[in-house]
Amino acid sequence: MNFSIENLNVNSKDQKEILKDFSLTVKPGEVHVIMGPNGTGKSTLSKVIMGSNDYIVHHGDIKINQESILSLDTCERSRKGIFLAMQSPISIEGVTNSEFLRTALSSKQGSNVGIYPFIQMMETAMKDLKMDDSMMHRSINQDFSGGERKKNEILQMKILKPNFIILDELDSGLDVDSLKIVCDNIQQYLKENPTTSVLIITHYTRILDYLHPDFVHIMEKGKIVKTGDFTLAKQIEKNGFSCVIEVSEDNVNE
Amino acid sequence: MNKILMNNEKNLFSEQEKIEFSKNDTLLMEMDHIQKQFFLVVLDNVCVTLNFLAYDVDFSFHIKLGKNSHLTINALFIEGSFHIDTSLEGESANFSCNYSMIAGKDSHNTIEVYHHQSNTISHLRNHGFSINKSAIVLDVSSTIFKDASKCISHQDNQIIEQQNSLSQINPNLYIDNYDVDASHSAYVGEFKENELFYLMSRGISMKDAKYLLLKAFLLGNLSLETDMKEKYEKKLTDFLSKEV
Ligand SMILES: Nc1ncnc2c1ncn2[C@@H]1O[C@H](COP(=O)(O)OP(=O)(O)OP(=O)(O)O)[C@@H](O)[C@H]1O
Ligand SMILES: [Mg+2]
Repeated sequence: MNFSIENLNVNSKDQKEILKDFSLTVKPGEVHVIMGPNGTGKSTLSKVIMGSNDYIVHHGDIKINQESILSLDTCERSRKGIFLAMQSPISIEGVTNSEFLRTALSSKQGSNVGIYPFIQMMETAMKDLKMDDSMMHRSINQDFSGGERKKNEILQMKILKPNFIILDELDSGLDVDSLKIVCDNIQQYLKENPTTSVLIITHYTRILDYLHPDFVHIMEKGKIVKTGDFTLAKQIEKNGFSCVIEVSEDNVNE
Repeated sequence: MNKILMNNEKNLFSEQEKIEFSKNDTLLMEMDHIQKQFFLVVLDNVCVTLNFLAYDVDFSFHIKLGKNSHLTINALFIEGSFHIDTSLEGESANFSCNYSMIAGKDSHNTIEVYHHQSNTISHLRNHGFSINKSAIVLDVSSTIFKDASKCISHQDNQIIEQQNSLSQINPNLYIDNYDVDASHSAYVGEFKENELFYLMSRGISMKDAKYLLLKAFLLGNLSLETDMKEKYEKKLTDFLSKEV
């Protein structure tokens, strides 16, 4: 899908200004990366795209194929094909993974998905991710380890088949081997769905060794201050943000 | 498992209002539109599970538990109200009360437990869901007497409401002994925003998301076997489909 954010200004409910004049365009099949210091607004951006009620958009627009999605609620945005793998997936006691995902898939398809084909689909996807079968029948993320929660996000991605994927610090919490498994799955998914675009939020370049980015953006204080390619990410990892951000602030002031 | 059905026409227990358990048992009681008072005794070393499925029932229950006995109650009340007082009269008696209630009309409930003896245990889990603006009141009290030491007594009380209602929880712990492990918690509020957001971010509508959370809240509170859980779920779904 063609995805764009235009001059977005976002406050929290308590009037803290978080995103300031934020713009970004992602074309079908592109992989974009956002890096930036802690507290700069990356997760906020991802939740605002998903339609969280915690934030107020008071200027600008978010569009899919030139059409605004600001008036759509969270579930409608998901059904349009946006998927957010969250930085800290919560657990929900009493709702099982399978019940949750079957409801989600049925909602997306507009008709009830039969139990048998669904279980088969889940089993295959879980095997791909090297997840234990029993997780299907456990409450959503309840007593899951940090890494298991991240895998569970990608399981949901595989089942729901989105075409715009946001990965908010997917790499945090995953061990080296798990990161490889998860990235192999995403790579495979992108191969099968070449028009799917990805927005990766990360602090490290390791994930980018698997999911090769077309663009790397540096975000600071609620907006993108510099854009480059993979080498920019390497440079940041080596030297930190300070040089990049100083230079761009000078540019802004000009 | 034994099954008891009670409603206006049919009342198998009309004479026998005192039940005594002298051996291990699991019982399902389905009740409809009645007002009833019961006395129940669980004798020493006996383990009993009572499953209640009640629709518009006003029910009072007086219970005595013997030494080393174990009683678990899994009650789903749709409308109506529940009054239960349990005396832990034998040492090491163990009582779990899992009570879920959903009401579109006002409902007043009292759940009381009395620890008379040492090493007695009580877990009270009370979950209420208020439809529209109905007021659910949960008066929950645990009393541990002076001579009862090393007791465990926990309460988890929650009411979820859709709009501000006059629902309230009054949790009380009366403890007259130093050597106890006791706690209570109370939450009255709406569905948690972050849970709704997570479910909806996967394409589930607000209505379906709330239904999943409601089911988890009411049925997840009970410790039921799968077939029993399905039975409870059906009763709940039937009621909700009429409500909406
Ligand atoms: N709902 C909210 N209410 C008030 N402040 C908020 C809210 N959400 C985020 N913030 C604040 O906005 C800023 C941006 O937070 P955000 O989580 O988007 O940062 P981030 O860039 O994802 O950081 P990190 O790299 O640490 O994950 C922070 O200062 C945070 O405290
Ligand atoms: Mg973040």
